Amino acid sequence: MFKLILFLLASSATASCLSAPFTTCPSKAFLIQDSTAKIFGVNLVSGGTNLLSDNLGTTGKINALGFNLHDRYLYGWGYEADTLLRIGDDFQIEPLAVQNLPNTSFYVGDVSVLDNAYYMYSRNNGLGLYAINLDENSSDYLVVQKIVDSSQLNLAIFDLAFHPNNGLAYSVDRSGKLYQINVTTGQSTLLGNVGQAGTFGAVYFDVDGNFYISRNSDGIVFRIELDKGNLLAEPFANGPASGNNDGARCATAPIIDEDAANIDFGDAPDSYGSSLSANGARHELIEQGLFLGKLIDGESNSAIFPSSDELTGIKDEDGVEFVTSLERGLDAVIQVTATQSGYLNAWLDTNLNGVFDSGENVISDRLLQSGSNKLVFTVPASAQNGNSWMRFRVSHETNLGPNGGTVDGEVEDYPVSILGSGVTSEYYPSSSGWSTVAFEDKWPVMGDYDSNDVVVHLRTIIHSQEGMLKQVTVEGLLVAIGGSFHNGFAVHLPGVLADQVKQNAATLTIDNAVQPLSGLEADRDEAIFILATDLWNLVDEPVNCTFFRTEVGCEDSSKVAFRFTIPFNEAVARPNDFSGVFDPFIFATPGTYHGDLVGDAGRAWEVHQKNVSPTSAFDWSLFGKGDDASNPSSQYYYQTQNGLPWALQMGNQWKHPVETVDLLLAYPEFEAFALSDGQQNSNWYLQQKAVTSNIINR
Amino acid sequence: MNIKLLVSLVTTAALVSCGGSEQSKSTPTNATPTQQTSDSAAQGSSVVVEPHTQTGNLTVSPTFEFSSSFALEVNVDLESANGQSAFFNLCVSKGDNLTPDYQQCLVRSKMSNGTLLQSLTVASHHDSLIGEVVFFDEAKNSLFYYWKRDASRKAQVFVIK
Repeated sequence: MFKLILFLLASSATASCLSAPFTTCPSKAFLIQDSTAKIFGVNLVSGGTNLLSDNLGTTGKINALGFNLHDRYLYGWGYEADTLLRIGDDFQIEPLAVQNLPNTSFYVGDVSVLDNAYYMYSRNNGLGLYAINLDENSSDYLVVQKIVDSSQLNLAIFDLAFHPNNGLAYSVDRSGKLYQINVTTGQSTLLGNVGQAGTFGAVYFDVDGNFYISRNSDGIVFRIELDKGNLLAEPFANGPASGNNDGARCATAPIIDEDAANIDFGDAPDSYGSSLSANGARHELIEQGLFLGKLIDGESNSAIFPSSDELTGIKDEDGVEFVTSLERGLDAVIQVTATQSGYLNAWLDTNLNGVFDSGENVISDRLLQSGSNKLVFTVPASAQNGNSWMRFRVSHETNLGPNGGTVDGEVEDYPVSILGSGVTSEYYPSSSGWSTVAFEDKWPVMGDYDSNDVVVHLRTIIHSQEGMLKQVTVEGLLVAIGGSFHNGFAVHLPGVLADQVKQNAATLTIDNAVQPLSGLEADRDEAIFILATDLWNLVDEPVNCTFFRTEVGCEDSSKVAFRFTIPFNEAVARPNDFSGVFDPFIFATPGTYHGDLVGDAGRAWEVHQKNVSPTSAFDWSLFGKGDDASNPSSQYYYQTQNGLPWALQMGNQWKHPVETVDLLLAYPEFEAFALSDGQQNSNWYLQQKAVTSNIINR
Repeated sequence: MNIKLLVSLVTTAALVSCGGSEQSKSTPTNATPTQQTSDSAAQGSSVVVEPHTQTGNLTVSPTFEFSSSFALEVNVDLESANGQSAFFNLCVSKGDNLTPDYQQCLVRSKMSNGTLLQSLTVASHHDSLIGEVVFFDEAKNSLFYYWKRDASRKAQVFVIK
């Protein structure tokens, strides 16, 4: 007590007034270290720390730190003053005149979330668990009460923290045993072993009931998803190591401020670990620091696939270029650009299980130079063919895993395809480009040539080996439905038979959802893949619009993405002229009216591009009706007397005309193109050739 | 509203798809079709010219199929790549006309003894392309070859020897 009085007198000579409490319940944790106490802020998300103060007004250490929600001060045990300290936002200690103090120092303690009291614990003989009332209005203010003797509560623990809701305290002892402590009764309950051992000198909770423990020897912060019942400690971030650690945080705060978007997250599906709750890969942004490519953006959480920060923020997946394909058992070349020298790690999901397993670290702690780096790595021979993901992490830290936080750098995730060895890939119009097919659906009657009754973007990928087909992929976007008739859409692969398709492996996905059926039309010899029998079933009913994305003011409806993946039973000889968009066509939805001349022809009614013959499903008696001047003997199909088509194919992501606007008013150069048999204005369909006010531009 | 921390360096070239920018942000302002003004009108006052024809009034040959693509044959036979493990890319350029845009490739294939023969369909506006021979050796730079469509030829070929 005499020592305390002297300390109080000494402190009052320097302290001019009481320090103010913290203004908020901060997301960051506080960490006290060293024999002359220093206090740090710790970002649990990344493990990053910043020094808040190296002069707290004491030459001794401080331990048993806790954050009091009720008054927003920190409390801890001061070894120099030998009493409880209060610390405000100026990080200057204020020793408190506590009554009935036991004759010892404490390194285990925290402030309860539910009641305004500080709890401290020592397992030494004759000591135990104590409470100090922090309510200034209470008659017991700053009076120590012993809860239980150490003979009843004997735990080898180094810190404890209170759960945000249930009033109980938790700790992990040096062998990894997780204890729950009832501070009212002094009883402890062993919940299990967290799977990690060591001295966990700083422990914390967040508002979701996740328990974080920081190991002194290496600074690793582990997360235990206590409220979810997952008791295994998973490495979460790398914090500072120290032989003398204690920590505290506001348990009712989330560990990341939603407004402080200074963390970079990955974009892969969350099974790979992208979101904060999945302990996703995350990097604290450092201005002018190390990252990949030219762009980086921060967020408070992953956008969660299929969304991505490419859609919601900045397209910062720009640091890695895949110079070659990824083929099983072969080397692959990538070009990686970094702003500074740093270490690159990369993972490829080779078994397509949605997780970056150990053994899938294809690039490990590779030192990058600032600027462009050509890297070669091997795709394992055991890899499976298919669509997958790759994760790249750059940091000044080495030995990073695919998940967890780190203090700098960037993570970039890329969707990739793993191919068989020696496969050639051919893309139309290019690996990320789109072509477009647009239909008039009043055939055999001439339409209004607004060329938007059905509009679909298409991209085709042909995988072949030594001239034999291995797999075909048709990717598409349903862009517009501007006709009042109901139509289905399909793609016919010319020259390929249905029984050449590996039917149990063929798939159709619509908006990233794998469909129950592959779309291969049954009972046909030809390989015909049907997206939908009625395209209207794929789109949301437009609000205040008659059609889907053809009217001004109705452009915001989402396009519908689809993909046919078509592997073959065995290598199929590539048919002649098998390239481009193949043979996309529309057909009448069965049971629906499609004009007086065709009635309910249903599936037997088709419209293909000019001079492309119909499939075996077609009713050939429909040819020659109305305005149709098809002459199958001359191989003239789907054209008028004047040679005009009912379908057009453009080699880009074409912007279709506004509803009822004639094609020539939207694309004036089309006239010379048509009249010159394509000798002039071959690029008539490009957007810069369009009359902007006459097209749907989204 | 989230505050986003943006850190960027000055880019040397923006990514532009072949054939010019197709990323206009303009949107239709009304449903009434407007006629593009003639060149002479553009020099003086703005004049709305009535269309002199409609698509339905055009007459074209029955054999003309309105194709917006052409066939290209790529024939690579590089003695310098013989005996080395090499890969071939045929891609659109990044807009600088010098470097390939790997997100806009038309053909990607491992080469066999420095050779490759590939026929493909190319969209009409991709009238210049870059062929790259990539070596699986970090110390060895790629070889680049540049192709431009020859309007005088009916059959388009890209020969690299």
